[in-house]
Amino acid sequence: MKEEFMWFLRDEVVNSDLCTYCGACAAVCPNCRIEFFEDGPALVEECPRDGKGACMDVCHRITTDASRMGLTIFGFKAKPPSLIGQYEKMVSARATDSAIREAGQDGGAVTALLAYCLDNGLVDGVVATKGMWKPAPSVITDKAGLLEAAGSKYFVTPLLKGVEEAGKTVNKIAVVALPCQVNGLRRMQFFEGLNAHPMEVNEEDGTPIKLPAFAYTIGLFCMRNFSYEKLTEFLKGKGIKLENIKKFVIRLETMRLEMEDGDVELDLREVEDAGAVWDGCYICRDAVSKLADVSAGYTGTPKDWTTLIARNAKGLELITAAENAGYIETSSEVEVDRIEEFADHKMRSFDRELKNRLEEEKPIKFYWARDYPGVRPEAKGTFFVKIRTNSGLVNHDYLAKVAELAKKYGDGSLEATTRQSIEIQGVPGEKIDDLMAELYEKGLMTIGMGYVVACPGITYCPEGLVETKQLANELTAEFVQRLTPHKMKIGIAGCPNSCVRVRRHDIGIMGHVRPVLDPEKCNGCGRCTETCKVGALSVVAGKAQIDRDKCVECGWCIRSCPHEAMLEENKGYALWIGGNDSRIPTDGILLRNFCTKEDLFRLINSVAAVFIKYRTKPGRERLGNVIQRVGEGEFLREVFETEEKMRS
Amino acid sequence: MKPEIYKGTPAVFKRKDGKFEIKILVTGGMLTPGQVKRIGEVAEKYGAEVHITVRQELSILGVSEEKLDAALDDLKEVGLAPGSAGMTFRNVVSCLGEDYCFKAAA
Repeated sequence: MKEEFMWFLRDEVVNSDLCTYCGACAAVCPNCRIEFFEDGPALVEECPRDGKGACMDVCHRITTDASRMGLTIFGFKAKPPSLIGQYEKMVSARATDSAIREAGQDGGAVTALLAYCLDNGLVDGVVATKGMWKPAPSVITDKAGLLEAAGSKYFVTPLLKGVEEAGKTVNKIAVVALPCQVNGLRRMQFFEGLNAHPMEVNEEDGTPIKLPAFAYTIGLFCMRNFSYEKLTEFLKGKGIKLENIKKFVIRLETMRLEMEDGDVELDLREVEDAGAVWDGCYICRDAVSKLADVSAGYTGTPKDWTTLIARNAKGLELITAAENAGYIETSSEVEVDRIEEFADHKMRSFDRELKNRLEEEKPIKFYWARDYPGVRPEAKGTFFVKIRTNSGLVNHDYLAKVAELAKKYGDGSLEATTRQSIEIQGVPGEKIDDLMAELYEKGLMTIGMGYVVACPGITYCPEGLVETKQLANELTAEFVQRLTPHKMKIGIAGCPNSCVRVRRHDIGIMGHVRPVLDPEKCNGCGRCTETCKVGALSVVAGKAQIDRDKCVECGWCIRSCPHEAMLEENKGYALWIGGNDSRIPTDGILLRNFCTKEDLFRLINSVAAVFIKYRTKPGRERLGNVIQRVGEGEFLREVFETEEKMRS
Repeated sequence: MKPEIYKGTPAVFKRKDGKFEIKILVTGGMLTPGQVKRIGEVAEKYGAEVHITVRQELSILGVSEEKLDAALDDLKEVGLAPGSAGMTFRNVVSCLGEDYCFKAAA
């Protein structure tokens, strides 16, 4: 009998049949209090946080948050979720080495990729599952080890516990993981960026778990995984001699056992009915490891070949390099529709499970809701969906669509936000998939991170001095979703009225115009002194005179002069940086006057680079706080130096 | 210098191109689907665009003067009215607060 201690994940995940046995929770516990048993992980001694520490933060069944992790995995190019996830290229591949081909599953392409990584020093260890019977995570450092671990395993294993183990001996690892393990691994990997607080530390020496660098994540295709005890029991009941099994092959509907005395094929449904499938697998949505660098599986390619999906630039580079070095051979023969069918099969099974759980009122965490950008949880357990606008400008078509979605899926309220988007409030978790599918179908987009806000500017506003909306869209395209040490909010105001509050934005852009008097035309009528709101104008010796200290460069004097005597000396965008009105507010400082659009892009890039250089507490210090710490003069000097380098 | 306003309502004012802007009073940014739908319909009917302001209002941009009364009536039907402009207390901006946001203290 295990002793029971207060543990958040036990109540929320393990006992609700949501746990995938990935091992992330155990890997990050600095006090090693989580262990894995037949029926799932358990806390084996009392935790002073009642299990609300790092283990809770990394559990991907609390939230996978793929939209946010996608920013790091795919960089700028992160796309909205799709059935088989985003990718750069798909090939079918197999190992060129016959020993690897023999030992591995479906042509041994994954083993060959790993051999390439080890041989060329790209990693100094591989974490994978080893041993067909009672498989366990292992840290592999040479080809012999790879061959030993090659081939698919079909039992749940706390693989990520092996990552922590690897951290003790090696520095850079490749991990071969199932989709659920990939998700857990990504949450461990991006912990800092995701949680904005430091990792839990060991109670005795005050240090967190030492994790190795995750150089490559190779994700496998997966339909179902099995409980070791229950599957072996089932097979024994079938009269199958376990020691004779050489290999497991799972296909959509069947489980094939390659035995010494010939193959045995079993109906997968029968295996499911016997309860041998791991409980947490039924609510899984990812069949193809959407968050891996490279995904691999048998689907979509001929027998004894493996489909390799390069999901990001790093994955593509690895496949190309391994091929050039002669470790794998590839062909472009991949049937994408079969992979889609495979992934869809899992989604249909997920939908059935979701329906059952709703009917049985079994707990569901809606861990997937945040895989969509712009979907975030609300206090009452529902979600809001933030719908993107064209920097605040919308048409009737957009409003009609948004209103319809809100009526159909939300709780009857919409919020126009202070950052010019519209949010549908109160969407129940189970409706998120349908809402998002309809939203994309209608041609709408959601957005996770705040994009550039702008007033209507010269195009619409009588007081506007510069164009704002187009600039906002250009800046959004260039900068939004680019990772920085804290949020970077950009705002554009068309004139010094600063309706957008330029000095309270991390990056504030403001249109301004410097007036100059044509003394020939000025007759000293004094109209400008009446219209100037800041008392910067006076008539001296029959001519208007501008007090530059008082002038805010709004252009009212220019527009109001009956004689066209007040002219534009210079007009452009002023760039302010480091403002914020958040927890520790800071006022923006002026970086440069009269910028052109090109200047703005270059300067913002420079500011971001210096911000990154001086980051010490990601997610805790806004740009303005960093400027205060570094010193205004020093920070600006570096920005200008960086700008000079960018020019040349 | 001050923009021309319509029938003494500061929130309905003339733009550079001679058409009018109707700044709808939205408190705290909260609207119903019916109201959003209607704002869209008004924009379509009178050939205008809609701007979501940084103070959580929806502003209808570009209604010609002779159609303003009709547009304002259409909005009135769903409980919307122009407001919040000029030298007055402006619309109240608010975040979602504790009803929705789990970070909220009140």
